[in-house]
Amino acid sequence: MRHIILKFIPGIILLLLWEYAASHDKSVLFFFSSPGKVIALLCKELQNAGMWHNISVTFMEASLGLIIGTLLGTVVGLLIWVNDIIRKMLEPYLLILGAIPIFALAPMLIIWFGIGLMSKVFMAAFSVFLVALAQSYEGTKNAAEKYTLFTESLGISRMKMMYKIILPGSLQWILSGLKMNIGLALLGAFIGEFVSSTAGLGFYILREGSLFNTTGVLVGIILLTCLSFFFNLVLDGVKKYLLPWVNYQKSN
Amino acid sequence: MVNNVLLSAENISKNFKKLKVLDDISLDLIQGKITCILGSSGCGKTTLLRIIAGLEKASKGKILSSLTLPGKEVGYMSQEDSLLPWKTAEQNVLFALELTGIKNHRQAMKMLRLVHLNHFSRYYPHELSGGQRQRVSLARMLALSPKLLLLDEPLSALDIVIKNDLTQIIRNYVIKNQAAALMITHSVEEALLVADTILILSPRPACITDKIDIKDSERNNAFARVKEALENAIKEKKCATSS
Repeated sequence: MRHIILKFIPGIILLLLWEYAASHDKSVLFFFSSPGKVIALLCKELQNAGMWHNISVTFMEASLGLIIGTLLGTVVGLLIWVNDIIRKMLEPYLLILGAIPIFALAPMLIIWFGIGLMSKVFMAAFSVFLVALAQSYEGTKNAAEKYTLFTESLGISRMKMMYKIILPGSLQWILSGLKMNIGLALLGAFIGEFVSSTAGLGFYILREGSLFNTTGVLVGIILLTCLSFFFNLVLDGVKKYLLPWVNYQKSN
Repeated sequence: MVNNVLLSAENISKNFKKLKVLDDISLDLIQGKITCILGSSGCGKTTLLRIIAGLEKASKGKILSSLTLPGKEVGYMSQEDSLLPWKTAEQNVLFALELTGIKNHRQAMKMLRLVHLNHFSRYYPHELSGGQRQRVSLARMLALSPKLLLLDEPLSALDIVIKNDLTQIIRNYVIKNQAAALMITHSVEEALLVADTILILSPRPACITDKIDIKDSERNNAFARVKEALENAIKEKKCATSS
């Protein structure tokens, strides 16, 4: 209990100082808003159907992007393990892809998919693809090292090993990659909305920013953070359900 | 090949680029007998075992055997249990059977009974102790009724009671099924516990420096002899001409 209270103390002090400064200095209020104003606007916006629409749009873009990017990255990562020729063929292209600042692709995606949902979904998917690929490839290598010695000596085919051992064995790595990718998927969706959109939290933040409404910008940031927390919570639940032994290994 | 010889390794050498790891090693694995390769850590024991299992190619020499290598008549067990954490003890044993096309719950349970773990069949590996996991590993290997057992230091992380227990199960299996076993270890005690024949391996590039046959009656008294042979192999390295 004492530890929990200790954790809250710096945050509370910071909020009190911020509130105090904002109430005594107009420029602080203009540039940083104040905790009271942010909370008041947050409560007001949450009663507004428009804000829930913005939240659901960003949620859809990020979650679809996360799923598509992770699936594609994972499949390519697994294929690279199955066949060395595929690895050698794809390696230079993956290196080039890794060097591209993905967010620079945003205008292209708008041209290809329009300003609707799909351009943001693909922006998010592109953002998470390489991390998912790297994680699934590392996962396959790890699972192969740990679990295949016995089956190798039986002369089991690589494809059968992939399906029976490598895929379930690398799930821990794939899910860890998914966790890392939550932030990237949200960022991808957010950047997509920043470039061109008519709804979403990125659109909301951009609009409030252009009106010099720092309170609104902070409300948008808080809601994005809440989305990230929500994704993390869901994923932790999935991980506990699918991989009960992982928590045990960690605690040992 | 002589009738009761299940596998012969002839003049095996292995180089990793310029590094010579194994140098002209010959050995026979005989049905109903356990051969143990004793050598210091990092001398190339595991490489030799992998070559014999057909998992790696020798740079020189050949393996002669009536078995298909790698194949379903070969059982491999290592120091780490390599059990699948998402399967129970019984499912792990059953999994090995499934891989070879037989789904036989009765056989899986019989094997768990053999290693005294039938009451733990529904436990996951993380719920078992290190010794219990290694026993499940053994049950999984024996479930396939292998003709050749390849054991890569399977006892090294276990206490003496479990070592004795597992050794006895392996010995009984080898004699009853007329299988051949090859175990590698760096421990003189483990070698004496299990082997009918001990081959002493020198440091890199490894060659066999001595071959010691162990009779059951002298199992408890041969420690000094084997230890001396191992020390000589490390100090002098005089390769024996053949196994």
